[in-house]
Amino acid sequence: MGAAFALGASALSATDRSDEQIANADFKQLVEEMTPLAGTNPAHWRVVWSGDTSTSATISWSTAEYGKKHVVHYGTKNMGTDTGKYEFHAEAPKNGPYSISEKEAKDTKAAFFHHCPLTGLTPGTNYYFVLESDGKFSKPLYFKTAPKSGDFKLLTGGDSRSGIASRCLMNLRMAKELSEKPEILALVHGGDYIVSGRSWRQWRSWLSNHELTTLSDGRVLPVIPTRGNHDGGPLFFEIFNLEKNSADLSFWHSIKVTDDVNIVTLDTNYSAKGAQEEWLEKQLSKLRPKSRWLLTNYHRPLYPAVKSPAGQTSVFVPLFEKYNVDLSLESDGHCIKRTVPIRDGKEDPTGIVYVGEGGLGVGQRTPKSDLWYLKGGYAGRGHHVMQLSFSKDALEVETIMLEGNTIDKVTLKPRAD
Amino acid sequence: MNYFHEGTAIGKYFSHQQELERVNEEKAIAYSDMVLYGDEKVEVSEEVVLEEVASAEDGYAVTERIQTWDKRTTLIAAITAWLLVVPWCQRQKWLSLAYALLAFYLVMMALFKGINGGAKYSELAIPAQATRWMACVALAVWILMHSGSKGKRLESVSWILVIAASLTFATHGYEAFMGHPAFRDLLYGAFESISVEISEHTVFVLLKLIGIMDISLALIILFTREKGVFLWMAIWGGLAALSRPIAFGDVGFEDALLRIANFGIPMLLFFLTDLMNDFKTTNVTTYDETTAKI
Repeated sequence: MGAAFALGASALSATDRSDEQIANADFKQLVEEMTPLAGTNPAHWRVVWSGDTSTSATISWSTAEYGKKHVVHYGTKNMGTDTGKYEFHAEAPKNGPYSISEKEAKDTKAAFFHHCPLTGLTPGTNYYFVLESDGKFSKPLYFKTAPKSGDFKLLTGGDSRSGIASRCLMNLRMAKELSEKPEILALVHGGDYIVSGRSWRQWRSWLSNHELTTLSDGRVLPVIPTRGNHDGGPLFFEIFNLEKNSADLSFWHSIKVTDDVNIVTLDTNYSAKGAQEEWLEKQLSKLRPKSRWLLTNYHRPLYPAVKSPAGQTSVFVPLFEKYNVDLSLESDGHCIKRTVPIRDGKEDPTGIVYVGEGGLGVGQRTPKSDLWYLKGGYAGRGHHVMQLSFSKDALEVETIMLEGNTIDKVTLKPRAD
Repeated sequence: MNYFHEGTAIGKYFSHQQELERVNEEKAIAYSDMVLYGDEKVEVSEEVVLEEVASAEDGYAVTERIQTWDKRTTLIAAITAWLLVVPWCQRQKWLSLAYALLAFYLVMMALFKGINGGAKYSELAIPAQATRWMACVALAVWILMHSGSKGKRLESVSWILVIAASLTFATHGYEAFMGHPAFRDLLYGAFESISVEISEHTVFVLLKLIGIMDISLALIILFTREKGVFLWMAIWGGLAALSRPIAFGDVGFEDALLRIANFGIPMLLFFLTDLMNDFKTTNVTTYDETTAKI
């Protein structure tokens, strides 16, 4: 088995590009490297992480035609294009059309999602897979499950909603980081993938562009999703195969990366109090005692560098401080930000550091660097991604620019040993 | 202050647009749509140049210019609004144009809020903010009709105010009925301030009831001018505005100030109803007497 492979053209991957070539890559050439959405060719492949990332993952892809049979051939051994030799063959249980608004339906072609959740995976292991839709195959791909414990890295960033050429360059940058640092496991995307969450036309572009994070050897960068204020509507859930928390299309979830690293992701589009507050307190009280590193992640900043604070600030911050969260990831402001450690509304060495604000492609804004919590921290602008390096003794946060240079770095020490 | 801090929706829109033009976004999307999805909607030449048309630094400079103009415009609008409180100004007929321009500016802010998106129900900003921009329309009409029949003048202005209050209450009512997340937090916060815990279910039920009440009030005032109804709307509008600082602390004061018209317009209608009745019964009230009463 294994003929008729519909490869996305793999001209010059990020692995082969220099930093300068990444920053100046030609958009038209990059588009040629993405998989066209046609027939049942598997395109838009992605690995989505939620819950326990060392033993589970969802493999998803899109086709232009609905098709009849959608299978993931996978296993821990690289069988290349020989799909028959993979250990497992899982039929995608969730298939359906992406929601297209009436306005877009007139001139935008339909497309279909296919989701195959995998469970019972072995921690810290490469899983090789090939996607098949009605006899059409993807190129051989793989991802690495999170280890049970030990050192690893994550990338984090948000706001890839416009500036699609820059978004592509940032995807190449992330791929380059992944190729040079294999210990990177996944991307925590802070939300605002696209401008209008109800636009399939915009989402399909994001999905095609996301293919550029795949390495030339087929390694896929899993995504840990967060819902931004531009990600309203049902497509967010259809793309990442997520279950909404309420009738209101809200989404918060907890991610166990390793036994002692947990990320609690919140929804700043939903009311802070009530269900979300109860859930947050439960999660933090449960996870704090067993986490060496406990992170929170959400879209709208509580200590913003550009805008005013999110409405959830008065609810989230006291809980973060009560449970001594180690680091908070934020997006939305379109700038680079790292605050000083904050507790009780003032600088305090025992406080929480807030980083992020989003630079995965969107045009950048000028942060208000004279804010008290940014003096002694960092404020800047430019396309960037942040790298989190977790180890037993330290959590290092580095801001890596599109050009590959690091412009800010801070090291946090664990709260208890 | 919020507009100075973050910029208005108009400023944000133009900053964003210039950035999209700088990076050639439209052509880039059209090209990738054509190559990847076979879209026939937009024809793009294979030879199209998709490079950025200006550097990021140039883009920042343009954005900063837009933001500076945005702040200046806001400042001029704010000063004009306050100047027009001066009684002498109110008698200058030509100044009705200033109010009309203020109304237009506020409508544009609401319009661009909807276009920018990213906030729940932002597409309803024009009716939701009707009390803000229609208050300016009412004042423009008030000055413009300075020399006309007093009865007609009062009638016209009160109708504009009624429509403004009706639009705002109906839109907020709809948002409440649909369980707007921000309204939920306001309810939680308000109850918390009196040490009462409420469940999420209760919040949703209360919001449904509030929604029905607001929409009913919006409809009632279109058909009848009951002082009691206007008074209730003023109290409710004031409470809803005050719930911001109650729920969110100091940061909510600006929000409360922004919503002052949700209290002010029903209150004005409350007093205007008396004036209208007086006018109808005596029909001899002079302009100066009417102004003095207001």
